[in-house]
Amino acid sequence: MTTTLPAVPAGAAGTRGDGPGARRRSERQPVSAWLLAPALILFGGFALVPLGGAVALSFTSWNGLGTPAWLGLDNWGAVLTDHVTWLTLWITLQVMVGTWLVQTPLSLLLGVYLAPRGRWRAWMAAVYFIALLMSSSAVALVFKNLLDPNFGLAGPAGPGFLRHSWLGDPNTVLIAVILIIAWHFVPLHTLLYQAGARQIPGSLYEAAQLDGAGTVRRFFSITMPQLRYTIVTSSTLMLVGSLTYFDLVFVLTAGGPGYATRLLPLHMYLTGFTATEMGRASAIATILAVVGLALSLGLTRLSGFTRMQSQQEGL
Amino acid sequence: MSSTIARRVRATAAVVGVALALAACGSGTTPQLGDGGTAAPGGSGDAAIVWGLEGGQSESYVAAVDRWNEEHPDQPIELQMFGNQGYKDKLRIALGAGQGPDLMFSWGGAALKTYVDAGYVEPIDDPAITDRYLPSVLDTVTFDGKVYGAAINNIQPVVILYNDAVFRQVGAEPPTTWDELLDLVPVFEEEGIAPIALAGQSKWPQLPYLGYLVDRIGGPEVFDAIVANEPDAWSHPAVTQALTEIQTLVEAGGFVDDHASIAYETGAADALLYTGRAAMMVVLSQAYSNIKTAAPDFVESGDLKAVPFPAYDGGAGDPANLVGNPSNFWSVNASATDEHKETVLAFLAEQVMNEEYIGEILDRSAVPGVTTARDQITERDDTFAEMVVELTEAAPHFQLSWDQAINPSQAEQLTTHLDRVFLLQTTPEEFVSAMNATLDAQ
Repeated sequence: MTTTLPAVPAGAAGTRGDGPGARRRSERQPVSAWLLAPALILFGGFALVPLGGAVALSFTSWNGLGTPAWLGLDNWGAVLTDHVTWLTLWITLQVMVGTWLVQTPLSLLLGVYLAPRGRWRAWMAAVYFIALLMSSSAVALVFKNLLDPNFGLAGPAGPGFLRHSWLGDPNTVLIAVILIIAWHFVPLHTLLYQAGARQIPGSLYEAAQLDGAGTVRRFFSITMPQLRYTIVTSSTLMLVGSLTYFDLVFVLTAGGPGYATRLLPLHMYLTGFTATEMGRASAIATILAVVGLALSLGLTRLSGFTRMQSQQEGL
Repeated sequence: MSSTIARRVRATAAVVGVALALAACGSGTTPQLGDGGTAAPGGSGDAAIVWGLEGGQSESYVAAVDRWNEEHPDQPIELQMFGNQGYKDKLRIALGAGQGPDLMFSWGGAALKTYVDAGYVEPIDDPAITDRYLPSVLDTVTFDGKVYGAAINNIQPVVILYNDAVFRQVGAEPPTTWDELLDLVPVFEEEGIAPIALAGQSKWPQLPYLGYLVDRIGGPEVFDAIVANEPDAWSHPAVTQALTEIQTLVEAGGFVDDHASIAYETGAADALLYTGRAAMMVVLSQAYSNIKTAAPDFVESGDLKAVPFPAYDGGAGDPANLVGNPSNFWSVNASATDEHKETVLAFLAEQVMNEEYIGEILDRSAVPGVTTARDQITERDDTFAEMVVELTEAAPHFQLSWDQAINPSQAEQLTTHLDRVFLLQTTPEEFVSAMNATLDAQ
């Protein structure tokens, strides 16, 4: 902790156009490690201890009642040789990539569009935000009824292009799930991009406009590079977050038809609570934790998030 | 600066306003969660806790608890109601954590037995409670000669419910054999009517097909061997033949298109039947009560009729055998305090399956599994209720639904693999070997 970190511009939005003079380096003072205690206690108590418990349980046979019986590596052998584990991992990967591909362009464009001030845009931002306020189960129930092939919008009474058994056809159900997840979470990422876009100094755009750059050119040469770290943050949230989609899918399809939407976290739940094999479910949980950890570490390493530097040097 | 604040206030107001408007829209149509619960007048501090499941007969649970609390203000009972999805998980976790209710709702069978074996359930010795029930009902909750539950709703054999108006329209008769059922498929297809409604997403509506066909083809012994975990019990030829018949029916277009996306809880499968878009449904007799609630005019018109599951030509099983849920039960938590045990046992003896309670269930065309209901049924002249009684009394064997009869771990595999059979994603042979593997695991 002795190295000084590059200073983050303080309140960049408020100092727009004020020039470098407005920024000052924050002075580093030794800080007592005790300040970490509340966070560490919470993190240890609610994250590390349960994680250790899950790892320990993965070596036992337990149906949720009574005392777990020591089993050794049997659960791990069964989970790693079961093709369903790998299938659910593959489905999870598809959802991960799918949600990223759908959500990133949508929320980036919406966020950038909503960034400038204006009454109309504020109203739109409010409307877009509503989807995020709803609980996942409610969203799932609404879409389940909307997509009902007999009595919903996807039925004979609805528009023709929707006429399809979206949740019943194993070939389309994953697409439907990815789009519904997008409907639910695009608002969050739009908010991130909106905030990110508002941090970009207007002077950059003015200079580009004077040089004759059009809207598209300004978007790709100024907005996108300036939003680089927002993209990294948002993508990390999306990719790691897709390892936790459970409630929405559980209510929407319960993992079916067949195995078509059985994501890894759902597989863990069904193994643990429906099949009451807590030991095996704990092994899946451990795999889930390891994948999640590797993913977020890998992403921050690859994207240079850890070496984050100001995007506005020299302004 | 002030204009920024004003904008923020406006934006916030917009969000809050729209959110409130949405919440207002929602409250009109969303059932209130608390509706089913009945809080004890004396506060919940010392009340005995009872868990119930929302369903066709759950109004009677509420009424019984209300009557009890009125007459026994010194021994209050608090009823907490749950939805079907996730209830079993909640019960298991609560029991494991020592937070279970004093009286728990269950299905009997293997799941209840795991609780009994783990010492969570107290046997019910009071003959005033247990003597009322029919033997086929008591069998489901009797382990080692002791009774571990009191039936609280109705006998639910799986039958074929059919829309008689649709049958008249095409000039067909309800099937009495499996082959007749297969022959009916093209008849309805031609008219653009789905032959059979199926809520495939819920998975449990698929189970009776396998349960009945295996019983009809091979007799009850086939499944008895599976319950007993005998090696390769699933390899019995009756299982393969039953699965092949199911896939024949699927391939022939016997089920409503999109059956994989229909969940029973949404009521869509029932609606297909009473709107005439589907002709038949193989379902727990409980569905009759559900349709009576959802479409009273349709039931009033007399077009909702029922026949038993068809016979199978050349099969070894007795066509009078039934598959279904003999009842749902309330079981006493072994770790409840003595006072609470006394309260809930007195409650079971006094308010459950008394004349009023039986009458309420019969009003919904459902039949409680008690000997004391016979007179009231005859009085009422309810064809469906009488049919259920006759079927139950004539059945040499009443098989508890398979997912309840085997342990939860095997049941999860069973429902998943059977779903894949209905989706034509797996062959009967693959199903058999996958299910045999669950026997080896024991």
